[in-house]
Amino acid sequence: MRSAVQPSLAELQRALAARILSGEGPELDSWVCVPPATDSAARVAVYVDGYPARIREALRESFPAVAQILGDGSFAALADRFAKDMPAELQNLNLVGAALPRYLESDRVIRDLPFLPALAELEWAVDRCFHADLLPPFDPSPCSGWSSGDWARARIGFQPGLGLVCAPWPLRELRETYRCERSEIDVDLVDRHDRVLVYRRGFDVVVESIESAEAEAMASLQSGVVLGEVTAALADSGAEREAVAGYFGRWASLGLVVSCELSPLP
Amino acid sequence: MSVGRAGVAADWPRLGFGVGLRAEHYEDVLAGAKGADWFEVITENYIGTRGRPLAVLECVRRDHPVALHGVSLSIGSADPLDRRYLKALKDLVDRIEPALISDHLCWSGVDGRALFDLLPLPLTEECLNHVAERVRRVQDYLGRRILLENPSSYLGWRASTIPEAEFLSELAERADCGLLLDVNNVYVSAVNLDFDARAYLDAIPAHRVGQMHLAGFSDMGTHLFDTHSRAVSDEVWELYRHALERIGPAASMVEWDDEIPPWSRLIEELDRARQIRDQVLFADEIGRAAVAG
Ligand SMILES: [Fe+2]
Repeated sequence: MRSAVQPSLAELQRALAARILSGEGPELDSWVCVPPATDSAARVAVYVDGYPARIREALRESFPAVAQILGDGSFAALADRFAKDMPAELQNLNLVGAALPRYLESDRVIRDLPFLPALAELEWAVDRCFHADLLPPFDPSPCSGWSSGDWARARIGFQPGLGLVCAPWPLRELRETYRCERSEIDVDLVDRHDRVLVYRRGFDVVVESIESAEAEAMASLQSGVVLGEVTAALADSGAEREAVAGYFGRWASLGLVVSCELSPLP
Repeated sequence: MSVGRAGVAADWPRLGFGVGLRAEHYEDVLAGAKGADWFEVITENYIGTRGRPLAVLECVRRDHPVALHGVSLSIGSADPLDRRYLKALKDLVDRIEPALISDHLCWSGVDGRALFDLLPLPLTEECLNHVAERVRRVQDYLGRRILLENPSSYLGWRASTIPEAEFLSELAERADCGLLLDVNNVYVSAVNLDFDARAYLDAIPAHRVGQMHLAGFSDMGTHLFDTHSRAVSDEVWELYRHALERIGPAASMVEWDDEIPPWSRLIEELDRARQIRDQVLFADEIGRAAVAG
């Protein structure tokens, strides 16, 4: 260890980091140097206050509806709690929002607003979709000779930005609240299940509600289940054959499907 | 070492007068709005995106030089260099082929924890060696030189033994890198830490300055804060004039990131910078002619 006035680079950085993250780092004050008659605490506070302020700002940009529903004070308090507990591996300010939906699941705000984690998940899906790559749509010509057995073991790949969020809340309507005054927010939450598909059309992000059977099929396919198993499950649950075919046709026409590969034979 | 005057500054691209490319001005820029010779973008906003921002940047790049300006290289951190960040930076450099690449003389995190700020370094021999060695490694990895910017400072460290301008000057020599001279940051730090801003500029080696920043600050009562939320102050314009006299017409740009004004207002700031450049260079020309005559 070096003397108190001659810390190593790492010691000095750890002390300021501790002050920023938890108000600790007592040795810091004797290492800081400001002009005479200057309040050094006020100068340290520039950095201490800057950290949560930047996280608040980044979250507000990614989660406008969560921010609108909570209001300025509650949202800032939530962001500050989140900033303190944030996973260390988040290195890019534009990506810190990735951890908010899960964080909300155990935060106190959900006592009154139980839909917030799902709404945050939807808003994060929209954010990621905006920045995602848009791959060329699936070219079906190599599959023209496939047998029905081949199609049964096909795995479907979707656009990297495609998102699907399902919850027992009217998610799409809740997301729209960022456009209105907070005092005008009035959303009926009772018995309003929603399954929301998020995808790109050009550079725009489309957010639309879909039927439960379509959502189930897409969720299964996204998780890697082969086509035969997905269609069998849909048939078991009473879905109409035409409706199921319609989902696939629609996804293809929207350019959401980017690949179709045969899974290995057992 | 040569200490420059107008016209001496070295082999950095003379880009003229630029602005930061911000989403608020995408429509203006795509519609061909005039006034900016080049654009600077915040590197991190174009890493990890394949959406509209990158498409706009590529479109802008077709007609204009672009500079990549990073905020998370964390060149002074005690942590190892972040390889994933460097790889992402190199991918963007290969894609955009920027005229200039810059980041800040600062640290932004330690022990693997990012703090999302430009934090002050102790200006010591230990730190100088550490930063110089890392700048060389970054430049070797990218295959080209980078510029380091003087940050706005709100506090200093008792451990510091080297004045910042001297530190930057020595760093540029040891690492063979360039400097991004932020004239507003010089002014803000000079007021906050009580040093002479003009003496600071005089200690910066002209041939190392590849770019200059102009911006507005806010007076918080206890200190000046580098907010980038308003017009360039008269004091900073005066310093800029002095910097041009010493350094010559390095690529200059106005940073305006908060309370962003309409495009036309932003260009008014650039035009003021152009006017000062013209006055300085004209005086320089007359002076040379008088000496030669
Ligand atoms: Fe700057």
